[in-house]
Amino acid sequence: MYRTVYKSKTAAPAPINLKPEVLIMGGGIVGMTVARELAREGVQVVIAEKGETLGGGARDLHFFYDRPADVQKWMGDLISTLEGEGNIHVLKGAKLKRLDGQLGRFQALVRTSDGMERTLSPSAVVVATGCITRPAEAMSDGSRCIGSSEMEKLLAESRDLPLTWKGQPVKTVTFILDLTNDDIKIHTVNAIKQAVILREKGCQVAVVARDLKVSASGIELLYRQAREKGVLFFKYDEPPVVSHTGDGISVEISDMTVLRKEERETVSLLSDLVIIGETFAADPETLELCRVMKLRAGTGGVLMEDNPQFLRVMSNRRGIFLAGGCRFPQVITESLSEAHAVVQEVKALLRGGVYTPVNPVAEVDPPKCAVCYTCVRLCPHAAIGVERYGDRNIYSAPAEKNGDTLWGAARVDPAACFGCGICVAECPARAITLYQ
Amino acid sequence: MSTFEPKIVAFCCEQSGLPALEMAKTLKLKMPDNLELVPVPCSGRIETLYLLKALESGADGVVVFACYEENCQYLQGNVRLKSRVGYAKQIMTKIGLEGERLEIFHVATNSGVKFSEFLMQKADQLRLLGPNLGKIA
Amino acid sequence: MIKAEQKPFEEILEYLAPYNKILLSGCGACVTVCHAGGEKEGALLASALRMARQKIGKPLEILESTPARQCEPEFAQELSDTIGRVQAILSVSCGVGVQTLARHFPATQIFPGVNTTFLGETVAHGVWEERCQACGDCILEKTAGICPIARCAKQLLNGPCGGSSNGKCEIKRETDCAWQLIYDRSKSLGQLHRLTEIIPAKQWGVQSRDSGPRRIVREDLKV
Repeated sequence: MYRTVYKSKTAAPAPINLKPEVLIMGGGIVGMTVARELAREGVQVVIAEKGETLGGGARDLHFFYDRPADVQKWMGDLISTLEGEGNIHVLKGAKLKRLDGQLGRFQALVRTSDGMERTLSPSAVVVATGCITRPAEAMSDGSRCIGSSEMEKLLAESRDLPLTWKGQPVKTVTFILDLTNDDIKIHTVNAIKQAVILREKGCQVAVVARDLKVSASGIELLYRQAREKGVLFFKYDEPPVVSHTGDGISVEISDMTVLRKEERETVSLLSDLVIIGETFAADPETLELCRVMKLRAGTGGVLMEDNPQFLRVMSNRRGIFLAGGCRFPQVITESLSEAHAVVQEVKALLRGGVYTPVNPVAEVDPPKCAVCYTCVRLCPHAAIGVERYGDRNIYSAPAEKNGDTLWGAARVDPAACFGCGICVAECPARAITLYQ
Repeated sequence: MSTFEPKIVAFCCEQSGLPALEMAKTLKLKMPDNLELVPVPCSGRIETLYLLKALESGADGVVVFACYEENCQYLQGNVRLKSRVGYAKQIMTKIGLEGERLEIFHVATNSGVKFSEFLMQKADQLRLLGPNLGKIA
Repeated sequence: MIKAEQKPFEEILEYLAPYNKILLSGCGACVTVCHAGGEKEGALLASALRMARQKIGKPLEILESTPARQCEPEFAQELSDTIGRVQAILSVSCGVGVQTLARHFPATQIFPGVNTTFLGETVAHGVWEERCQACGDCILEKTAGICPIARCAKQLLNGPCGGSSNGKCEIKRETDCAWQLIYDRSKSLGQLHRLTEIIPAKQWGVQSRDSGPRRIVREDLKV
């Protein structure tokens, strides 16, 4: 025997009009790729970049691991494509001050460094704000121990020449991985990629790692290539000891190929340079962005995707998508796959120009609402608002007044509601009903 | 007393409990005779009042089939449910109803066997416990 | 707003013992907001009471009603027809609502279902704290917007007592010292000089309820 908790409603939910306008937060490679693809489809795109230049974290990269192209040249081409594209508008020095409304009636207030404020009304927002890098602790004294991005720069500067560092020739290089960010594969990928280039320049190369992480497309192949070219790989479990010798730097690890711990000997690798992967961390501004956009923050202050069982580019709010390093630091190829996934999702959402709710939708009976904000606080999808009170609130900038945004009670936005019914169950006035 | 067949009201989250039920049916697994099923879009939809009302209007036991924690399609649903079940149990203690009459059981969509086993065990447990004296038949 | 919490269940059961048909009246305002006596909490209490009474073989019939605000006479008036059908009223509104019903239904026994606790604000979902004691003579302009009457255990008007340590109160260690808060906030506002002004002792007998219940009359509004 079945009972049902849904109430049926005869009137179909009103479709919500969606203009082909998209706001992209962040002008890194992910933001730019999404912008280019969407603009090609005729979508009006605004990129809000917090800095004064486009490119983001990829400005530190010069080599792809999976193709011979130069990252900077590729990015330069991408930027000039964007500049020639009439559908794309770039705001530099931009900060999102407010994001009101829901899918179909988002109102974004963006302030740029020139003091100008613009109100945008995008149908979808893509967050691609990336992450930040910090120098690893071991690099603090700056002698013969450098970061991966500095190595990248050295390699790019000495294309066909022998490698030099501070005017001295570099013959032997040791990479130490997994000192920080033990859970990401960027360090493995960068180290193997750079090791192969160094071997081609005739350098002796060793890679010291806790665990090599090869779970990105083509990395196993690259690893094999590095082995064939004579790159040495060592595994450690106790962190390596780095010490300066007369004219070099030595890395000592315990030889883990011997199974019995007490029989292990210390292997000392003497090099001209030691390369350490920088620490990748969430941008501290992400938390503020989460607050403004009502998005979920995950551990460590990254942006949290919606239920991990679904597409990882979906946020907890309908119409807001996440891609790239703001979710999790990852290699360029994977960030770009996410960018393409977002493009597909945005195109699917905007197709037809309307959104019609398909799931059950909660509805508040305004006369019963006590405006206690219980539902507003507990909705996991930030789909409920009490906008009339927000509008009256003298502490916030007055929103544009129109009948549609003046409510005297909580209101579930049908476009943003996922139909879970949490609000229905929490409402102390029993003022909310879930309609099928 | 030997003829007492406890009535169980089972709330089933449509993301996990309901598919598990369908699987149990497909496998023709044993189910308690006196069972009422209430599908809900998410276990977060279940009000504390539903749990009490079920007991008041005739259930000897109430079971909620919800998704595993941190696995809710709506992120917070089963977390909210957990605190509501806690609140309902506090009220039941005040009334003098046994805590065993209300339980959350986490299932995955493919847990048909667990679904049926849990209900059969619950029915046995309730049979020993005897009828819910608070119900208004 | 007014904050309240439900009375112990046994207490309610005890005073309802002589009756077998009652009206449970909630309130759609303050007690709904603090999850103590709105439609849902009322229904939960009603369900629990029915089961508890059924269990001891003395069924209790409960009619439920939740007006938008129990403290207005018009809402009370709407209950007139129902009152004749019950032996007693259990009101889960604040003490004001209980008395509004008591004034309107002189012949019906009425019981409170909640303890009206304080005037407070929501500090987090599910957490409320006292902020105002309705003393009748607001001094918040002198104390950086933090009330020492409501938030200092000793209601000190001119600085903390010697029991303030590490910003906490000696009476309740988990509570912030109101005067620490006042000092910190005044300092960050650059208004420390305001604290040098002596706040005179309160005239409790004039503005506050020491001389009996207070009354506000607006002649212009009277009809």
